[in-house]
Amino acid sequence: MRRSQHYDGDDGDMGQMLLAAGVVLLMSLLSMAVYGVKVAGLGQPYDPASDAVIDMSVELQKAFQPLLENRTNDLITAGMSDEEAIWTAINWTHDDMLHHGEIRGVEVKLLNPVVSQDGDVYTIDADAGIADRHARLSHRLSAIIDLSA
Amino acid sequence: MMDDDDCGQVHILEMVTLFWLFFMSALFIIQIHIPDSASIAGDATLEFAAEDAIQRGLSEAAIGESADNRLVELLAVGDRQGTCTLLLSGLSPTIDGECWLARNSEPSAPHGDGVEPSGRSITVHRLLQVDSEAWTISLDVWYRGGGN
Repeated sequence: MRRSQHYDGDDGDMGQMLLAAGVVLLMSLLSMAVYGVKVAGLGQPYDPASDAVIDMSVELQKAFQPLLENRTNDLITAGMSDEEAIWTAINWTHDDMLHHGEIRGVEVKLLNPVVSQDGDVYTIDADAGIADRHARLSHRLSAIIDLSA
Repeated sequence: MMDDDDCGQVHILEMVTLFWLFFMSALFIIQIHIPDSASIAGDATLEFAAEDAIQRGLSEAAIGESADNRLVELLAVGDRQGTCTLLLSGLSPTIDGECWLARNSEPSAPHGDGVEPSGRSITVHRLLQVDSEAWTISLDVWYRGGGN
């Protein structure tokens, strides 16, 4: 009611004013948002180790069998009994993988190793637990060592 | 004619406009520079360069017949200097690197002709089984001159 008494122009003037105010506000907010977004993005560097768990898992699977086999053979040649050599090789491999993981920033553990024997053929099963701050992975590792030769 | 309320609205509008103009002018005059965040593409290039250098060492033919490739051959005889020289020679000319090696549970130590990193660097690791040994190869790489 008041507007119709005192306002000389029509509603178009009021609309224009509101539109102008909206445009100015929008531009202000956009220009400030650009800087806000840039500042917010500064603290997020690319982390090349984000796939370290998967890489480590693949490399461990490749290395597990030959490491155990070669170490066991070396220890038997040095005079150890078969079973003692196998368990020593498992322990050494566990320690070395743990150390490798420390350098790499990944926790690597060989859990619950089990050795089963069928004649001169030994089967070693263990759970590999690999974890970093991004991911955790557990899978079964298996190695077959034939000491008949 | 406008009444007082409308005038007030216009003043608010003027104030907001002036604020925005001052804000943009200040940015232009005092050159507030907020750097772009670190490029993912640039860091990935470094990572791939280091991985390629290791892969190149694994692909290079061995001189003797005791190993499948040159990298394993050098590690098998314990030639750490030669190993790191081979790995560092596989980096592209715009990238510098430092090579670290650890056998089994040894502490990792730098070898070869690498220099200290300048600027941001990225380290790529590889576990390599050679006979009875587990080698940890770490290649720390960065852009020559330290730029991104």
